[in-house]
Amino acid sequence: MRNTLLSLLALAALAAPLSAQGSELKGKFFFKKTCKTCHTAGKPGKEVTPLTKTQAQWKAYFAANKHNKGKEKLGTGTDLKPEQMKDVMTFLVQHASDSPQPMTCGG
Amino acid sequence: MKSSRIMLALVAALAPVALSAQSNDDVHKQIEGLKQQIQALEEKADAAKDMDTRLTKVETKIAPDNIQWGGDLRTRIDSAEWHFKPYQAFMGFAQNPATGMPMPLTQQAPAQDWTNSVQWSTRLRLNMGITINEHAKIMGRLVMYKVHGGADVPVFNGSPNTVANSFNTGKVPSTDVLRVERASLVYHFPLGILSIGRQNTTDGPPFEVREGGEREATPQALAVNATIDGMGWKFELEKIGLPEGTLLGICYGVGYESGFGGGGLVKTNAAPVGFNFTNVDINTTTGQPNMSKAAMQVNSIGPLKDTTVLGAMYDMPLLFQIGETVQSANFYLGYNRFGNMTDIPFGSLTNFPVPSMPGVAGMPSTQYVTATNNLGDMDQWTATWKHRVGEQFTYFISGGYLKSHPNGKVSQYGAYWDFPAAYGGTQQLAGFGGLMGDPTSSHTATAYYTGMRWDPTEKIGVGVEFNHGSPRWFTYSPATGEYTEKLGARGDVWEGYIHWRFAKNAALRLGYIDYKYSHAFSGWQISPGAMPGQSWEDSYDLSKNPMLQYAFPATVKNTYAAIEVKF
Repeated sequence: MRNTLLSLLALAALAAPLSAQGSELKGKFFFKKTCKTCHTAGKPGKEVTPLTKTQAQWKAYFAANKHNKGKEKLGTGTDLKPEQMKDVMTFLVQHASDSPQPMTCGG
Repeated sequence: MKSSRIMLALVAALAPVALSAQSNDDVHKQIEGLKQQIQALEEKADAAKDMDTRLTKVETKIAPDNIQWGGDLRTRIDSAEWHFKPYQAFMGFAQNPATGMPMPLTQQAPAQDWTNSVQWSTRLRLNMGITINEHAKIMGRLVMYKVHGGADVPVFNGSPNTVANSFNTGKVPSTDVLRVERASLVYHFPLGILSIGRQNTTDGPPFEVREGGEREATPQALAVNATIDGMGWKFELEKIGLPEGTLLGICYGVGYESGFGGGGLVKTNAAPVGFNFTNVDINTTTGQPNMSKAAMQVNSIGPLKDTTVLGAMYDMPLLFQIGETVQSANFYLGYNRFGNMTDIPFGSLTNFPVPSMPGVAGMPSTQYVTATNNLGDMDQWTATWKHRVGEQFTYFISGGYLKSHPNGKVSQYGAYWDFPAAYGGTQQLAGFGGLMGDPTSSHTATAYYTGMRWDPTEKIGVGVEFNHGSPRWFTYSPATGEYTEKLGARGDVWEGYIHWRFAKNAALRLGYIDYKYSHAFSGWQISPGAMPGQSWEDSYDLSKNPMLQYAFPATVKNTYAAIEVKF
């Protein structure tokens, strides 16, 4: 048992954390809580889902940091912190139209 | 002297002007130069903006227009040890020398240990996504799964995952052929979602916990993990205020089509179903039965009804924040009505229904089996709760309940004897049996499946799972453990694994699965009836020397390592 635990710890030590990646789970939560209030069918902003853009397009969009046709910065009018914006980007990129995530079942 | 002073004064007076004139020229030139540079930069910026717009148009056009490919490649090595407890091997029947009536032939099989220390396999899965328009898409998956150097057609050993058919495509190792595991049209209507075709019915929840990915299918893994052709409709209940992603759905599938291709056509047909032992007598010299006198039994089959699956499902995803931790949970409910179930659907295998036995049959050969009777209906209920606490910890629990509604019929595969007409003529003395081991009375079975996964870092995941099935448990999952029954096990199964994502989209998986089967016929919806004077549970308890035509392992210990790459 002790040897097993030591082995697991050794493996964990070998696994260096990825650099500068947000949390997909948090990103999904904040995206739904904040962005979807407007970007839903029938609401002021047109419907936006991760499938709206490709991975490259999402990265470029967040890098440009422009929202509402360039009139304001991303996150304006929300209480999203920078790290939460990163989480949202991670979620959108990982589920973009050309992402390697498996397709959702039946829609 | 005076001229020099005047000259000096003039120079001194004119010098600033001269210097000023020179500086102004320089500045003017610099300003002109800067203006030109600014103009050039503005032109470049405009060109870049134009290029970006054009590229965006191209990307947007390309992304939905073409088939989007993705998938995974897995190479795995397994090492397995099988232990069989003693059982009475059923050999057939012979004439009782004293009475001429049939007497069963059995041979005591001792405890055995089998080892397959090294088995390599490769599985390639190609996911296809085709966006037709903003409402419709086609989703598909092609799969090739084979054992390195393995036989293309499995040798039947009594386990249902040695019958290759369209339901276990991609779940049971077979050939190097790329098969279609999924191909369905998904259309989003205002009221809900329609899917029609070869459905996403494999690797359903909570299997994504072990895989470390996203949920892959609609039905829960404890209910169905097989390839089903049919259609489904889901109402999106977020429209009535339930959490986003909540779905209520109904589905319809066909499990066996009797009218095309299969041996059991809508009209009467014939097929080999085993052996007739009427002429097998005992050799007076050797005292052994003359098995060469057994004859192939060919029976009339059909007409059969299509096997249908009618199901309902409720999925509710939850996403919430407690303090600084974001958590997600999923609650699934499922109900399936399996209608007009048959014994063995159409498929191919070696050595069945005509086994290769000395003196009886010849070479092992590829044979095609088909359903021989409709056996009744089954109701199945399943529920799953999955909870992800923050980034690192996920647990789940899944439960299933099954009830049979037999129609009095049994599988025609078996051993036959010709009695005098006054005593009923040709009769089946032993066979594959009826639904859940009893063709006349209803029975129930239960199972549960639980597990947890800990991801201490983004790259490492460690998990453990346990499932238990009651003695008659059945679930439509041909080979969730991939060459033995895991979620279909009648007994207990433990699995532990380490999932190390050592690079982007690449992972190493180490695992160990420990199976302890309590009863025979795991994975089968049918089985022979109870022995005279015994309950069914005692008759096929693997620890009580049961009478079996095929050996079923009591324990299997399987260690595996796999390299998995996603793209």
